[in-house]
Amino acid sequence: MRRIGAAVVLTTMVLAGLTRVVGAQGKEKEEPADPRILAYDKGPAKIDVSKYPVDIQSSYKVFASKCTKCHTLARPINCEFALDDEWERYIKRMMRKPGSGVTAENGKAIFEFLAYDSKIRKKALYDKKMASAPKQ
Amino acid sequence: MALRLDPRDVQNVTRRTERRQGQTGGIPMKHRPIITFWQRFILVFASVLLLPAMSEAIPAFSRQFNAKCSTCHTPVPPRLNNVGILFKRMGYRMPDTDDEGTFILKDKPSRSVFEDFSIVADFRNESSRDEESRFKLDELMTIGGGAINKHLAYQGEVSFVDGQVMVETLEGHLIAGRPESNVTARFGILVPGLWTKDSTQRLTVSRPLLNRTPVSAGGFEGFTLSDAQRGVEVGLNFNHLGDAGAIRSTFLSVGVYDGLLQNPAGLAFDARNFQNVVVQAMHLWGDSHSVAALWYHGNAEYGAPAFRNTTDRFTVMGNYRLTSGTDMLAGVGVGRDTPTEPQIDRVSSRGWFAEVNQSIGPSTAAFVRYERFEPDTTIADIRVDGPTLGVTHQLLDNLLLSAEYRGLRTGSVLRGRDVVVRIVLAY
Repeated sequence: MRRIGAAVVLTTMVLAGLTRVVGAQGKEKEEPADPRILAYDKGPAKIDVSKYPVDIQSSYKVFASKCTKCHTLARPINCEFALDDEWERYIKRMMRKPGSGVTAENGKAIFEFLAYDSKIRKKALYDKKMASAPKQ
Repeated sequence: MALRLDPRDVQNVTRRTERRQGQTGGIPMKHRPIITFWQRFILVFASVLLLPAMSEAIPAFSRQFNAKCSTCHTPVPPRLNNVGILFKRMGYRMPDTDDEGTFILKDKPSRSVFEDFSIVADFRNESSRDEESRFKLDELMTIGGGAINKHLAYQGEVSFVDGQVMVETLEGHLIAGRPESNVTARFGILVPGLWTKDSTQRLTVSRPLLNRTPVSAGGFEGFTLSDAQRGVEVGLNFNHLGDAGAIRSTFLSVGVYDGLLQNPAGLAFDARNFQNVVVQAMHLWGDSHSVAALWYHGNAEYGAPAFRNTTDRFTVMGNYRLTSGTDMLAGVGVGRDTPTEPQIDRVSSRGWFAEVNQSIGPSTAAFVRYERFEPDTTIADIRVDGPTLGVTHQLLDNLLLSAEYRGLRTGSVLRGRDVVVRIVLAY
């Protein structure tokens, strides 16, 4: 009886492992992580904010504190978001993530920083996106 | 090296139990090793440092979800926050939201069972008044798991000790329902308790006495609730996502286990006895607040002719984060053991612990715990109590350092001042 019990457990685990491997065969093209995100992660992880206004420097602290819980700070710094509505959508999405701890007040500060920073540090990208954005 | 899965392997279970209770001194050396301890240490240390994409706790999960340790661990690994607890409870599916903000459980994108596991090496130097100090490899283990499909997941923890492979836990995990409310079933070799902040998630090197002290009654030497047993657990889970991603979850479960049998050589799984019942409830709220209650009712056979010991345990445990850096934990438990052995009275036991964890910066936490355990409330001389204090620091993503002092007394006698230094490497 005891051997049957052990055999059932072991068989289940082996089948589970095999199912996992076999089931993955058809997903050869699926990458473990988005290569763009991996590239963002490898970029610079700090921004020199010494020449930014004082209130934006304060917002940077909130950004650097809250946005490093689940991912690198390099990810939002190097990503291709630049427009206000892109950041607004992204930050709202992050605020809803389980355990994010990003309150509405934090979200506002983070938005203020990223929106300002995009117009300075990512000016070329920002201008390009603005030029191609549909006119209101 | 053969995989030993025989549940009657008394030595296996005994050694596992002793190590859980912190009673053994690591790996006994029967033969002169081919390479010395320090050569092994440097080899493991260098390997872990040189390997790419490393991180602590269970780095396999971190790699697969491309997420930082702090997604699931607060303040430092291995302590889980509520995201981490929910991730585990939901069968290694990450609690997340879709573009519309709807609560979802995200499967990992790994493609092989081999990607699901991490290797952890635990080096310790333990020194006390009575024992010679030495630095040793306390445990080398592989631990992990993963979701196989939408409904099935698995988990395992295998230790390599003294050239033998020991299966610590090996469980299947079924889930059916929606992310907000679902039914789960765990089966296999598993630890019954849901609240594990005092055991596998502890910041201290040692477990609280409440968790690691077996209560003996007559000829029965006892076991602890942190020992793995074979069984099945069915659970009901309710999850709610609030503002700022705050989690509110309630887990209810009933488990049936085979319990443990005491042979002359030690504890073993009791294949004839699926009469141990565990009823539990756990509630999570906020970033990492929790409270849990457990009732265990079962029995164990021992001796020849066989005597039977009926065991009841009731524990309530929980934690509350006073501030973002201060976490308070506490637990209380009572037990009653009724042996059928002639002339042996019923044994009542009780214990409690209170612990404060204080974050010092983003990767360091200090801890202080005071605890008391009475294996038999009628005998004051065997009561154990005292403080444990120390600090743990996550030096690198995959390197954890801990130092701890314990000053436990038995009755009025100081049992020893133990100092433990631990280095944990993980890949």
